[in-house]
Amino acid sequence: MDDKELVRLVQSGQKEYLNEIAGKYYDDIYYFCTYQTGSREDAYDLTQETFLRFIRYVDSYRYRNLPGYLLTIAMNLCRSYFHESGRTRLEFEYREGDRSKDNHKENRDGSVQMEGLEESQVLAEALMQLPDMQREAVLLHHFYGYKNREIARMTGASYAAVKSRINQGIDKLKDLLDKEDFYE
Amino acid sequence: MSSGKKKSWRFEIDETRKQEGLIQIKRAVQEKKVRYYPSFLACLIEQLRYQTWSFWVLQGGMLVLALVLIRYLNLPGGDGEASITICSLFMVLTGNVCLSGVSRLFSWHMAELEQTLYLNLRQMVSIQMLLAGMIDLAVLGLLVIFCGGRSGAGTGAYLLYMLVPFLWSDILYLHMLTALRGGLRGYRQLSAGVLSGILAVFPVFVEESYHLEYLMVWGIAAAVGIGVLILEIRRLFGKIEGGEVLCLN
Repeated sequence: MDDKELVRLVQSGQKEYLNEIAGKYYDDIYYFCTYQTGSREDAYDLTQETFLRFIRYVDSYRYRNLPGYLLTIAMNLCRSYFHESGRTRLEFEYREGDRSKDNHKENRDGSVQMEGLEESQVLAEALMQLPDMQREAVLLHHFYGYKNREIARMTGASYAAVKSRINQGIDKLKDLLDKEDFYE
Repeated sequence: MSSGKKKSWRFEIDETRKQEGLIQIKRAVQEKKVRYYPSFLACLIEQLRYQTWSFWVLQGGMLVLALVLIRYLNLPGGDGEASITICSLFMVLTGNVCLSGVSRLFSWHMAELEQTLYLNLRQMVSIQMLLAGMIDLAVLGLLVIFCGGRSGAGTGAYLLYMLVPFLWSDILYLHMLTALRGGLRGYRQLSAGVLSGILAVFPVFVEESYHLEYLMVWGIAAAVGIGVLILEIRRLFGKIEGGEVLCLN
């Protein structure tokens, strides 16, 4: 069932479809919150709060782009996460046992999987070095596949500003990762 | 959602934490009461459905009158300046007649009744203004296209001569909607009409007011008028929201 139909059903009173929406987009929102905040633990709370806010305002939501709308809620929550808690992001937070879990994965699934996990860690740490706005734009463009114009609408920035943030962010990432062909 | 180019940025999610989150979401879903919020277009269609036949006759009548006026003013031997005055008077009249829909929402305790019934008065006023604006624009367009060129003033100047009295009469009218809600409310429409008419005819008494050298003054009057009209609409919405004029009991 497509998003438009899901939203239509919810707004016509069949609220159980909200669970389907949450299940469908939970992971995407979680990854976004993790990369934005650098905290894998807090990202669970932020993801939950994203869907709770969506549930609160779904009655008056006019369908356009559901994942984009959810990401916009998540983006605003991540922004206030730092603002309200006074926290500063220093490095990507890994939970206890992540490394051993990764090694376990390697032994079970093979070395390719391990490379993927290591790559995500390196990438996450490099992303943490970017300013908030640049990281936001890079994530939405390169990881979530949004066009510059869509990001401009979601973030409230101008098209030129988004383009510049993405270019500068990617240049910095390339320097940090020292891999010219990372995003090719 | 994802681009599909790179998946390596996705790592393993703690399924227990995810399920905990989904359970909380499920609880919120169970408590949720879905309300129906019609879109602006749905509201517009609904409002159009409930317009009275006299409203449509009046709007149609204004358009027919505009066409008759154009036909009359385009007859050979017409006076350019007189044509401007007649047309600006007609524009003011059209503005007042079209805004009567808004006026009805504020008449004889109607606003209080509408608010008490939890009707969205702001939205209703917006839709009525939109309808009035559409008819006004149609009449203005007809007058400028068919009479503007023949008046000798040029289309741009002619548009200004029409716009200034129209804008200021609308400001006056909207102001009266909230200012005269006391004992004078019965005379509101009449007073607004008379004052607006005087406003539209006023330039005739100022010598050479329709000459090109005064065009800058007309431009300033139009720019200020647009600004004041926006402020007046904001004030009107503020009064509706604040309820200091509308008595809610």
